[in-house]
Amino acid sequence: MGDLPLSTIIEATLRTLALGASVALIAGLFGISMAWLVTRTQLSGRKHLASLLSIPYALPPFLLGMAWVVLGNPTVGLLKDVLPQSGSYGFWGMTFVLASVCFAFPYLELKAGFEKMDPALEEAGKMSGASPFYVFRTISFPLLFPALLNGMCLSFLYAIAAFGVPALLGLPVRKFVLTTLIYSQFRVGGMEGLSEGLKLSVILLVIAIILLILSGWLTRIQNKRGGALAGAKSSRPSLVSLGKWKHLATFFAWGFFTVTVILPWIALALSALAPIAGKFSPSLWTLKNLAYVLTLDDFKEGLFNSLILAFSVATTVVTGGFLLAFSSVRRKKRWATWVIETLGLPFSTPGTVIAIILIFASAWLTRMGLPFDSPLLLMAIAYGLKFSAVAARSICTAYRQVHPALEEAARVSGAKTWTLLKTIWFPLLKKNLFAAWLLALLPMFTELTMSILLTGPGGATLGTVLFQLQEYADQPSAAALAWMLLTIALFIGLMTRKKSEETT
Amino acid sequence: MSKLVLKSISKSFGDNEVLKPLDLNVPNGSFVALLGPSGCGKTTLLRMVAGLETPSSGEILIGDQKVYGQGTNIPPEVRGLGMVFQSYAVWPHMTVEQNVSYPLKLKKTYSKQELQKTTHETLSLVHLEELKHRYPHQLSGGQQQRVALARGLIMKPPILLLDEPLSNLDAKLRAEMRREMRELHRKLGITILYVTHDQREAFEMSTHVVVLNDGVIAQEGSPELVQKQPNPGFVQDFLSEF
Amino acid sequence: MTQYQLKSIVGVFICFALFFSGCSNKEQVWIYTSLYKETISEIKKDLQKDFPDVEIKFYQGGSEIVASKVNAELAAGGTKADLLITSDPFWYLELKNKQLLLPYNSPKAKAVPSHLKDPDHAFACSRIPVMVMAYNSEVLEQKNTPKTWKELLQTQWKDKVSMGSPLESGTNFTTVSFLSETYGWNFFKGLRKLNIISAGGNSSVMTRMETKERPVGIVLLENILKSQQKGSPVKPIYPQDGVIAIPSPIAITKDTKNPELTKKVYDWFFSDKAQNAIVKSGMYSPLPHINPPKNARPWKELSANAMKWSPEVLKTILNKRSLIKKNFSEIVLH
Repeated sequence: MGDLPLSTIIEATLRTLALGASVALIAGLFGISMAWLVTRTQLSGRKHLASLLSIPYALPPFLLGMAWVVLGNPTVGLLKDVLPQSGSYGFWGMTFVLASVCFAFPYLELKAGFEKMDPALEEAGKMSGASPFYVFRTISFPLLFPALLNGMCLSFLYAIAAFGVPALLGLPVRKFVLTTLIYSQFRVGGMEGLSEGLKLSVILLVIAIILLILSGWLTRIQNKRGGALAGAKSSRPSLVSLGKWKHLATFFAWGFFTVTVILPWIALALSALAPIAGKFSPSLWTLKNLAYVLTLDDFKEGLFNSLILAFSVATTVVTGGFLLAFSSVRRKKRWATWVIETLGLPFSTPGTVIAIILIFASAWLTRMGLPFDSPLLLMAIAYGLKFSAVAARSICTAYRQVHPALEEAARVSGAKTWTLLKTIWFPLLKKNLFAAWLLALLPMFTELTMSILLTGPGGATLGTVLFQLQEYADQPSAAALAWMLLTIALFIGLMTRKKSEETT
Repeated sequence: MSKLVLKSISKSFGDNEVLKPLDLNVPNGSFVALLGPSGCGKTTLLRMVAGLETPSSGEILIGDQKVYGQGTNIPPEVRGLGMVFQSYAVWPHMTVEQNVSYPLKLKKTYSKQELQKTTHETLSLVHLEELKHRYPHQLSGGQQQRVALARGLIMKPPILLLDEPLSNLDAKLRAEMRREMRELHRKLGITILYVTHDQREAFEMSTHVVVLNDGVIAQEGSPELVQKQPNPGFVQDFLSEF
Repeated sequence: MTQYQLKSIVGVFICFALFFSGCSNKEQVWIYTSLYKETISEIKKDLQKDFPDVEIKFYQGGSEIVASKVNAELAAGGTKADLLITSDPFWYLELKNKQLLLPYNSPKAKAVPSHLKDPDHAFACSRIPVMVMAYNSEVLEQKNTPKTWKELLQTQWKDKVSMGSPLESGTNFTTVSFLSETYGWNFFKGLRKLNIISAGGNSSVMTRMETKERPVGIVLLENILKSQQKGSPVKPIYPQDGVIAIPSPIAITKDTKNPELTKKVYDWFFSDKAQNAIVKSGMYSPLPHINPPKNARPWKELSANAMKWSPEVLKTILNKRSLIKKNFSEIVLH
């Protein structure tokens, strides 16, 4: 098996970088405008919109990709007349769909920034004679810029690691990115394909590491400036009345939410209820596809495996995070801090790369006699590596928000570490732990990118079943499962938002 | 002539009537202290003069210009007043010099030399000349407060508004600042509206004291008058803590 | 919830996982197959009935995916599979050459024609899916459809055709191998010029036809027949220059844990029950006495023009396997 032509590798690398950059830019734009609209203006229904807008990032991108094929297919898509010639296929289709998910990263950071920022900073600008726009330009924006940039970095990392969307929207028109190229090399088969895949993974990993370093540096700057952002709020910010722009802005904001969340949900619903692909008319709606999926042996196995994997790994990760964060934040143990920092690396590493590394590692370890060949075990390790960083960090933040005196009082009374954890920290942080648990659980439940590479006999998960249905079964069946998963994801996403609103 | 006139000014947040309709005359060049416990509405009153809150009823006149009332509502950025916030609100991403010269730069009518000269003068007024290239996180609380003061004074506003500016300082600094503020007022002759819950500040610095309680003026007069003859009831109780 | 409760819940879950992942009392037979899930559901019931004390487990995926899984397992020391039933005949020759198969001359497979069996009994054809062309009758009239493979190169088919990917689907790999042998790689260059979509498996092709995204497709007859039962407007075209039959083998792996039991299951796949189930899902049976699938043309008619099979053909294509995949990838996929 010969090597991949260099031109193909370069093209895929450039496209990956371009995808990351455009997604980051568009996500940044949407993120900051939404955050501003929701925290600083009198937009209609902004309180509801505020929490709804953080849901998209919990939606599995593969499902969104499927929905956008239905919506944006250039020949027969539901929206084909509204979209440009290539429909949702191709580079801009991928960019838009990914940005509709990633915008949540800058949005959440900026929303928190706006909320925490001392309104007096902006008011002082006004008192000095600055118009609202000048205040934004010279005061609010510079202060929030590190948060924006950090959010954009996260979007970039997410976009370059994406597999599902480039597979569904890029492959049919031959637009490869590194993840889909790795996957197709893997499919060409044999150890040669695997080593080509590994070479490409290195490129992807290097890009991710550079971004990770950049993002870490930005966080440090943010913490320096952060003094202002965490300042005492002496008053509530006055809201900009949008005047004649109000209706347009409201339309824009709610429209954004509709397009990113509601439209795909409808598209999948229509496909799931259709008797045959493409026949959407309501008179033909049938529940047969849903019934078919629910009775499939593979579905049952997949559901069971996904539940076990997600529950046990999320629980392990949160328990570990609880203990690690304690050592790091409350006991200032270097090694614990180091572990938490290092977990940022697999988080930023594209799932495809993690899977390939694990495959190599497991083959090597198995040959040495260690029982590392169970697909479920590999997936558990992969999920744990990939998703523990988020939980660990949010638990660290939770620890920091509690005044040390609460623990010190117990220590002075004689409580040792174990008792402290059990009687003080655990009850205090219960809500945060639950939120972190949900935060870890959701992506594991619907994970697809790593699972399809790591799966094997007995290793079906919801993600692999979905992928198989999409590739080998009829489209309505795949859509039926996708629709169910999307609905569950939306539900969990809403629950997570409610829980974290309660804790902040 | 009055520098500031409030006619039948009131403010309600929903059902909560924070300020019942009141009248206030602030003479030109006076130092008026708005004194009262937390929640009495003094900060709200100040913010309405600034334009950061909108009254529920009444009129506000600065000099002879109506800034609020019957269809008029001039936004804060046009009222041209100076304000010192309780949290100082010094911008962390700008140096002392940039903070203080911000209002001047906005006008765009000043040449670079004029800008530098005026900034220099104002900084000397608050004894911050040597720190002009520092960033706020490199300054102490007291120094940050002076930056806020300088910024509020640089445009030579008709009225300077202060919202409990000394409450975050230690006792020694507070005493020092009280002296300095009195000095500044004497030197510049500027009209000052000063919100505080500390009677010592009110009596030591002001020329007029307005005691507020629960949204109404409980007593007003010169510091000597209010101190020696407090109205029985609330004012007497409030001041007896001295 | 206390720490202890948390820990015990985690423990319970781990126990569950371990328990269900492997420790079972019954004997197990692992079948790695590319048969469609519905076909497996049909077969499983009968199979389990005839082997009540055995736990028959299926690992299903596209032929190439199964192959790469087995290859990976072999590289790590040994495969878990007992029986292999996929649609990439060349891979079986490769495995035989590496001595990874357990030869078995099954009495039940005697009636299978010799050109569809390995002379050394390492594997035998158990079913014959057939690759044809197809079209959506709501978009095209029968008289306007392409009649031969070659006609797909005509310009009116620009942006109108889709096929599966030989990198994932064994039947598609066989198809590409035969077409490249017969018409050379220029055939595929021509298809590329007309912007053919090559992605996924046969079902993707069906979906693109049904949604009218690509009204013409290269797809397995069984997909068409199954869909017709659901009322699909897709109809088959039997290419006049030859349908492509893909004799799909069944074989026993050398690593099988219980050879005698596995042989019995191997036999079962040639029983009338099994073969009828296979025909029901739209494939042809290699056994002459079994009827063709419902609504399909009889085998005699098709075999006249069908691309010819033989062990020599197998060998030739096997040697070029990587090259074929590479060429296709370069010409059509990029």
